[in-house]
Amino acid sequence: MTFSEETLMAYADGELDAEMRAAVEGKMAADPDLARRVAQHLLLARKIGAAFDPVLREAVPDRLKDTAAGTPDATVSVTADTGTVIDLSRVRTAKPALPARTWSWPQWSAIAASLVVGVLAGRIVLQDRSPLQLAMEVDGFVAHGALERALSTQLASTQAGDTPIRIGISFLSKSGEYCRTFSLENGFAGLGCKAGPDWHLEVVARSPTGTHSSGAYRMAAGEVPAAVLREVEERIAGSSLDAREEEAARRGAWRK
Amino acid sequence: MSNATESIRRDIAGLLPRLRRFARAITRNAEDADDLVQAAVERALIHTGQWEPGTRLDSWIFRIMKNAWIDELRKRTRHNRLFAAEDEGEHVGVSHAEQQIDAMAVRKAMVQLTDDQRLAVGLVLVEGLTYKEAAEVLDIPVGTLTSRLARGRETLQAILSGGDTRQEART
Repeated sequence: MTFSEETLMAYADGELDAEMRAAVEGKMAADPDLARRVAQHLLLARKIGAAFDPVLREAVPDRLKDTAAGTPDATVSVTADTGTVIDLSRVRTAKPALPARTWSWPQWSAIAASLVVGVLAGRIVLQDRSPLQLAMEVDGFVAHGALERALSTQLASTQAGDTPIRIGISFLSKSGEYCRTFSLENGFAGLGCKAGPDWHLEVVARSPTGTHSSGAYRMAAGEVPAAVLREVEERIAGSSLDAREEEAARRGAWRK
Repeated sequence: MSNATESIRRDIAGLLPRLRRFARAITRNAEDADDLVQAAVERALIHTGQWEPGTRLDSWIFRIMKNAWIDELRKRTRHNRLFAAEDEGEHVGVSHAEQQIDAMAVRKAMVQLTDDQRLAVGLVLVEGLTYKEAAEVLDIPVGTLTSRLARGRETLQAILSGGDTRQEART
């Protein structure tokens, strides 16, 4: 079964019914190219939303507030009222005032996560580049939710043995950012670097052992996906932080 | 002023940030955008009787904005006036430099779309309406909405990935 670009777009927009969605996801697991196209739709959608969101935080000009409040001297600017009759007959379904779907991060992350699980945990063997990595090259991923919290607060030296997100090593990069490796319960590992307020995910790859072994797992070289290791080697300045340096870096909110 | 009108005014005031965002997505510069919001709010307040409580107020006003904007475009074409210059970017308060560059690129790319495509992209990707809701606002079948959205995205994708910057006006 092949999917049209419109179908993939509708999938990315959450517009497919359950059956079609399952069909797309099933195919995605076996077809990295398809997954990459979906990721592209998702990224574009997110980019477009993000480009206009800052308008929401701008101060609303007084003249608009006055118009809404019905201040008498508010003037008609663009067009005089043409008496356009608004046909509401087809906008009748009672709905909450909030948009049904905005590209908020939690939602995006969930989709990205399902994409990762669908694609990476599937049958394909990851060579050097996963669809997720490709997607990252397009736009760069930022850690959110639990991962963001773990990267910001969790210490490798004190984390619980069964924590769902394990922090590996922390280090200062050549460009002066703090970076930390992490591994997830589902077998993925990656590297996040603190740039401004965000943890940018520089690489995410599947760990060769499948899942991170709990307990004494300390990012032993053999268990780190090669793609992550390469990134670490490329970026690291000096050696990794010891427990004391790691704690000090956290106190400083990972700012140099 | 009746309580109902009072309450619609309050609700509209609360929607202003989103109305401005949508206007910014479908017009070409911030000044036109705010003029459009003002005109639409004025229209909405004159016709409050046409809004049915229980339906989406935002959709209703988006529709008024769409109509007002199309009227405005027609008027400008009739008077053979040039569009006001583009001025994407400078009014948008993004702190992160990289984000700002991205955002600017998106807003520039949006200008390359046809008005129909821009409306579809604005309602669905900027305002988060479902295809069905967006189609209702634009008074078109869902299939038409979907194809405008797909073509708009195709153009945006091409421009933003640094590829060709074709300006076909397909609808």
